[in-house]
Amino acid sequence: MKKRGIGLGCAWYGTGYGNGFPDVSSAFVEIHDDGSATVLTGAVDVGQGSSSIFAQIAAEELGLRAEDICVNTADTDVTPDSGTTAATRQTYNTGNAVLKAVRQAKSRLLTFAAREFSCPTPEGIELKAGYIGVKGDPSRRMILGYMVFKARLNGERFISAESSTARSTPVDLTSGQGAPYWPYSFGCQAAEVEVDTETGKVKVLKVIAVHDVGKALNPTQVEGQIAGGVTQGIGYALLEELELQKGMIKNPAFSSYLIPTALDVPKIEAYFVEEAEESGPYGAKGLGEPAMLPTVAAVINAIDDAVGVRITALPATPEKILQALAEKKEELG
Amino acid sequence: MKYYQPQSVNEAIEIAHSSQGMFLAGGTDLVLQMQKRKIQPKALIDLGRIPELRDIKETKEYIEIGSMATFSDMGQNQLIAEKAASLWLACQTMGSPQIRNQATIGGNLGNCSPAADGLPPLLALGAEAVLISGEGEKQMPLADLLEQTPLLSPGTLIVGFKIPKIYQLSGFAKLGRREALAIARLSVAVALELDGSKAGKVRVALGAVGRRAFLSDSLAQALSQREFNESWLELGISQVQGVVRAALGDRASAPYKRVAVAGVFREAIASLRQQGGLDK
Repeated sequence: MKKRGIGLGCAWYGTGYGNGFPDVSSAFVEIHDDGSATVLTGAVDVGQGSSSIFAQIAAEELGLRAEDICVNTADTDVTPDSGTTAATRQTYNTGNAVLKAVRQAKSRLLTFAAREFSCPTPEGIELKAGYIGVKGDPSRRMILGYMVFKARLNGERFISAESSTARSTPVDLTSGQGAPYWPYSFGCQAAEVEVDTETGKVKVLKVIAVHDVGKALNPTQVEGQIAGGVTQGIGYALLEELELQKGMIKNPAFSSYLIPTALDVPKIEAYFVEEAEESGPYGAKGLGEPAMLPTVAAVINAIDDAVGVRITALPATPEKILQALAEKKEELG
Repeated sequence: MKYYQPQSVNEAIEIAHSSQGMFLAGGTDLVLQMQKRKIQPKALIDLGRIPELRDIKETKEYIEIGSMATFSDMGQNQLIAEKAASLWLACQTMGSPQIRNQATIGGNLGNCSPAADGLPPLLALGAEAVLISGEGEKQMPLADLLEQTPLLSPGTLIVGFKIPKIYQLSGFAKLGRREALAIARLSVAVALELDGSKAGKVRVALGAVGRRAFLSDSLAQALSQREFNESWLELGISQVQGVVRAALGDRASAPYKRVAVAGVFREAIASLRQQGGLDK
């Protein structure tokens, strides 16, 4: 018989290296006289989209389009160290470094432009839609690249280097006090499953995922990261199992170490809460790992809701479920 | 290692004799084993250039399938969908689209994995295997062939299969660890003649229960010539569990499989009913 159930899972997760270890990211920026800009950072985009985020940040500050920004990453010959792509830290930590670097180069550009436009203060200058000009005075503006070109002829360059350090303290092991991580990411997911009581097979029918991302700098990427996290979480809950024999991995291939295929992934509804994180770039914080955390609990709880058995060792294989069902039947007599 | 591409069956047989090579069909099993150096053939005889080996056609008494028909060929074939539904269903879930485009039904028998997806349906449907070697062509029930060890004598080519047009209804279900790219942990194929509301002759084959796919005589006896209803299904379930118990003995997978086969059998019957429109 096939039985359905719904389960909920919640997670909070401290992002960054944390526990007293300084978390440093760095970036170099140059604004060019062709109206583009270059960002160099060691941050590795492994497909999650961090390079797009850095382009968006630089574009936002410079009044350019993201495609006007060239982001060079992860080349140890030329890019400054930005730590690992780990700990859900690139949007927040390296995003902050890129933002600081862009702002530094920009402030010198604004000073130069104020002089050119005979504007008393750099605060009076704005960068918008590829132009640089005096706020509220459309007669005093020019294409950004042209202003950078003028500066170039004057021997000025808009190049910057910045780093951003997130500090935390280790937890005091006796009192349990400390500030080991900042910021924290929060998420909540609900899963609906169908359990076949004869084969023990679990089919995840639907997952609804809600995550606090501070500010979604790229909503499509947020959805993608949530879908990826949920998929990984389903694998964690139902499939992934490293089999060891005397320290050797028995299943070191994707034909024997199973992860979900496209056909194993249900409909995923992704929602995000935007509760600005003051210390993050435009209020953003990380989402990478938190997206997969609640899925496991939601799926296991949904199995419990469907057939009334508690699976306490992952993955929840059909064998474990059938065995738990048999034990339950025995208990009830 | 030598590589041949014969243009005809006769040429293939001659090359097999002179080269002592192995026949290469889709390669989805053989090439993997060669990469792992479990098999190191002296020569490969690629059957991909012999068009007649890929034919799927209907004759008066049979549906004939060439050994080089891929799972995609079969899974997209109207004739098979209508007259050999069990096999058609197996073709929808075997491997992934990429593997189905490459893997052949002849290779499925040649490799003869315990979990081969194509064999239980062919067994249930009463298929005859057509073989050819230096001694000539011969035809024998697949069920009998699967009793032989070794399966095929050296130099024997699987020409194809002939499925008799006896069973109006057939079904298939497979239990894998996931929805695609999953090796069958259990598979059940059922074929039956429908005689009014009664099941006439019934054949049930099981996969991934033991060394090779097999046809169960006891299930056929228990389920044939009976009213086809809910109690027939329940009888089938308790019987099939017994068959799996007996076949697996004290293997590690036995405690799970002998219980889980109930759900797989139920699903196989459901697929058969849908196709016969019996649930409407």
